[in-house]
Amino acid sequence: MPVNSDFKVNIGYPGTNKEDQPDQVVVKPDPDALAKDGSTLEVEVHVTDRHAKILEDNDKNIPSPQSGKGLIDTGASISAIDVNMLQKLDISPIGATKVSTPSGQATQELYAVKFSFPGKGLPDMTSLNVLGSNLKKQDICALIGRDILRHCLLVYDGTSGSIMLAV
Amino acid sequence: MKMGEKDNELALKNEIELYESNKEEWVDQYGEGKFVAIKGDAILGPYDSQEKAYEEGLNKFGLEPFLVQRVSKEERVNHLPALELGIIHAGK
Repeated sequence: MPVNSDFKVNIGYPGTNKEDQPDQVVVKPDPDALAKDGSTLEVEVHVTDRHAKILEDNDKNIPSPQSGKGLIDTGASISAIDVNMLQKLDISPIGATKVSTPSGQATQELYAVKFSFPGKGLPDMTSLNVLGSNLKKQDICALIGRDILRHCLLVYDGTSGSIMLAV
Repeated sequence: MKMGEKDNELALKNEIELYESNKEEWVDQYGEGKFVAIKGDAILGPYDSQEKAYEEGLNKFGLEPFLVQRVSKEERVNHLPALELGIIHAGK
């Protein structure tokens, strides 16, 4: 499994043989960095495979994936990506949802995107419930919410400063 | 316009209004928890999954905005604490 040298794989995943282990990666082997920055990892945001196929069938260019830092946010029921990414990927909304905001509930549109995690050995994951948000000021491009995490095992070890994300 | 920042600027405003005004009837007609894809006055479905509604919506409507909607009497509200606290902002 390809793993970035800054990361280490937890080979002690309990209850499985090594060959049966899910794709997994441990991030942030640094307690202070993990406490300060939260659980972040590099992500790429793509149009969905189905979207790409339509572009391909119509001899149109597939937008390049947009990359940046993603923050794993267990408090977020759905994921979000920076609005600039949506514009660069030229994605139209395919859903809507009510979300809580400082001024009450508001209807916001949802987008379908595919997330990949370069060099981490994790499979691509598609979500049809992604919000567009202004994330640039937070120095992140994506919030990875529970719509993605519902397919994952996530272990946060603040003592050792590590996160294990397995699919 | 592809992205909305306020309710009245949503690209899917008409589709959302169509769903809201027909919700009760569609729950009875299609079944609680089914999915439909809506573009203008055109309605596809019902489908058993959101993924299927998305796929059929793309087949029929292409890459234009369309609404994949779960048909339900229950209104789901999504929570993103960072958004609720004003740390991040939805839309442009």
